[in-house]
Amino acid sequence: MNRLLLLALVLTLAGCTAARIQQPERLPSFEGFAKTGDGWTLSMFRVPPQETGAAHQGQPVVLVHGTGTNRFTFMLEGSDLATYLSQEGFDVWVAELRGTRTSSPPDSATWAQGAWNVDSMASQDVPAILDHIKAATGREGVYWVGHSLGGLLGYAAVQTPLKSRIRGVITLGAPVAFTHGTDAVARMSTFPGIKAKRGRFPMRALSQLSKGGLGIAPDGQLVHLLMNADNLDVDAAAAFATQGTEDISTGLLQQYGGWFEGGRMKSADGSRDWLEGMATVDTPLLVLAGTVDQIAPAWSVRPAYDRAGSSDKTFMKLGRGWGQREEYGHADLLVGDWAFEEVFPTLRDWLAGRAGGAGGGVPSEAP
Amino acid sequence: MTSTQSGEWRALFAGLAALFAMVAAPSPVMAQEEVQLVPVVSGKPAGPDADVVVLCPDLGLRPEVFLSRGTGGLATRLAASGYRVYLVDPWNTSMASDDGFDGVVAEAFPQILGKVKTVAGAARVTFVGHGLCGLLPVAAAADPRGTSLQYRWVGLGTRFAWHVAAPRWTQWLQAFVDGERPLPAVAKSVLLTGFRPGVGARASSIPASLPQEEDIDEAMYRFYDRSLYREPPAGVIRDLFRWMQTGAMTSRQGWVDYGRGLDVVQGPALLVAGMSDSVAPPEDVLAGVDRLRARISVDHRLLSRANGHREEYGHLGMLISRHAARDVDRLLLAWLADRELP
Repeated sequence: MNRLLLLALVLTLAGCTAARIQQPERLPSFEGFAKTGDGWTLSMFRVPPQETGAAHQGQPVVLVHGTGTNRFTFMLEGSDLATYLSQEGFDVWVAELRGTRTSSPPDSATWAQGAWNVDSMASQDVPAILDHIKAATGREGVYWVGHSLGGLLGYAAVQTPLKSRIRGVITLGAPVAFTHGTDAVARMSTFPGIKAKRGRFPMRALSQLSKGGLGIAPDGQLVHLLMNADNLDVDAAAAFATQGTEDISTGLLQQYGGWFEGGRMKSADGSRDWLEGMATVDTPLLVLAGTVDQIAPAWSVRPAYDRAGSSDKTFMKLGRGWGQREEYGHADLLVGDWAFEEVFPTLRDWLAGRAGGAGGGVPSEAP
Repeated sequence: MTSTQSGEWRALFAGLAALFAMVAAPSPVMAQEEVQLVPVVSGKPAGPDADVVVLCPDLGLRPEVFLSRGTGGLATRLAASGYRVYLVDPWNTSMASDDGFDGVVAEAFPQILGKVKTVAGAARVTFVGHGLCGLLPVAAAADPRGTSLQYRWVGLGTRFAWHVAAPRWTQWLQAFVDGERPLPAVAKSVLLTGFRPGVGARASSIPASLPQEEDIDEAMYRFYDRSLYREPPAGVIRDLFRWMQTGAMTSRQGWVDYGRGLDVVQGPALLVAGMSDSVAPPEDVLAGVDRLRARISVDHRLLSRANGHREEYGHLGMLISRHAARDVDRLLLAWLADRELP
C-alpha cells in the first residue's frame, strides 16, 4: 500500500521541478559567482576565518555537497560545519554545484535537458571553484571536503593536473565501488522517473511532501536509505528536507545507473575509471564512512582508501564500535545530532594537523 | 594474648580461609582435552537420518549462546525444525590454550569433523560458525591434510580481511595482550583451581565482554555478560592481534597462510554480515564473499534495515537480539532447506 502511495506521489510529481532562485546574491554568506568554461554560473558562499592565531590561520577549505543536496549540508542551523571550521581559523568556502537552484545554466534549454553529470562537474565546476577561490584569496592550495558526490569530485580532481592546487581531500560517504549495492539502493533504481531521458528527478518536491512522513514513520525504509533516523531528530530532518534538497539531473542518474550496472565508477564515455585512477593519487586523504550508510556503505567507500597511492591516508568508520554515540548513516554524517561533537572535531584535527605544517590530529594510518 | 598477636592470628585465619575458599570453590569448566558434541533436542527428537547442524560460537562466547534467547535460541529453533543439532566449543580446549588458533585448526576442528562424520552417517552436514568459528572451514582447507567430510558451512559475522579494525575492538584485543602475565607454575596451579577465571587473564580497564548493542535487551545483555561470556584463550587473542597488525592470517611460525583456504575451501556457503558489526565489519565479510564467489556457490546476506530486517545488526545481536529469531533464524532455515551439496 505504501509503495502504491509512493508511486502515485511520484507520478503526480513527475514534471514538477523546483524553480531557480533568481537572486542568490541576497542569500546569507553569498560571496560571488564562479563561472565555468561551458557557461554555467555557480554560487559561492564564504564564512571568513575568525582570528585564532593558529598556524593554519586563513587556510582556504572548500566544502562541496552531494547529489540532490546543496550548501545546507554544511550550513544547517545547529549543525554548521562551515561556521565550526571558520571559528577554528579556516577560510571556509561552500560551493553549490550546477543544477542547484542558485546556479544558472548558459541557456534555458540546458536546464530543461538536465544532461549534466559527474564528468561535466569534474571538468568544469571543479576548476571554476578553484579559480574563484584563488582569485578571491590569492592562495593557490585549498583543502577539499566533499560529501558523497562532492567527495567523488575531489577524487577525480586529484587525478588531474588540478592536484597541485589541492593540498588534501576529506570525503564523507563517497562511494567508489558499486559491486554490492544494498537492496534499498537496488529498489531505488527501479523508482518511477529515475530512468527518465531528460529533465530532472523531482527530489525536492518529493522531500517537501515526505517530510511530514518523518514524524509518522521515522523508521521507514526510505528514511533509513538517506539517514540513520536514530541519529537525527525529526525537526532537524524536516529542516534539512525543507532547505537542503535539490532536484537531480537525469544525466547524473543515468551515469549512476551505469556505475551500478558495471560496478565501476567511470566517466560517461567509459574512457576513464576513477577508482583505478586512485593508484596515481598522492594527495593526503581522510576517508570517512558511516557504519549504517545505505547509499555509501563502507565496502563501497573503502576501496578509494585501499587503492590510493597516498602515503598519508586514513580510513575511519563512524559508528558505535568506532567510538561514537550512534551509528551513522548518509546525511547524518554532517547533519546528525552528534556530528558537531563527533565528526567536526575529526575533520578539524585532520585539517589542522596538515594545514599548519605540524603533525598531530587524526593519525595518518587507521585505526 | 596481646592485641598485636590477636591481629596476626586474625590475618592468618583470614588468609587460610581465602585459600580454602579458592581451593574449595566449584571449579568452572576447565579447558578440555577433547571437543565434545553436545546434542540439542527440542520437542520430538529428530530421526537418526535427519540432517546435522553443528553450531560453534565465537571466541569469548559459550556455546549456550545458541540456546539463550527468550524464544529458545537458534539451536532450539533448528532442533524443533527437525535437524539434529550439536553444539561444539573448540576454544575451551587445551589445543586452543596451548597452541592458539593453530591448535584449533590442526586438532580441535578435525576432532569436531571426525565426530560429526560418525554421528551423521549419510545425512547432510552443515557447520555454522559465529565469528572466528566461521573461519575454521577456510583455515582447515588451507591445511593440505584436509578432511574427507563434505559439508555446507555458514559464517555469521565472520571476517576475512584484517587490516582495518574498529578502535574499540583493537583496544579489547590489546587489553588481553598487555594484561596477560606469565605465572610461575606454583601460582598457576593454585589459581587454576577456580580463582583465575574470576580474575581473568587481564589487568585492564577495558571491559572483557563486548559492549551492549542497541538491539539487545538490557536483561539479555546482562545475562550475556554474566553467563555467556567466557575468557578467551590468550594464545588465540595473540594470533588475532598479529593478524590485525600484519593484515595476514598466518600461523604462528608463518608456515600456513590461512587466507589461502579461500582458494580451496568447498561450498556451498552462506556468509552473513551485520550492518553495524564492528567486530566483523560487512566490508571485511565481503572480502571473503568476493574471493569465494569466483569458485564456489556462496550466498551473502546483509542484516540491515535497508534490506528489510528490523535492525542494523551487530556482532552479538545476530544471535541474541530481540529480533534475531525473525530475521536470522528464518534466513538460516530457508538457506538450509534450499541449498544442496554439489
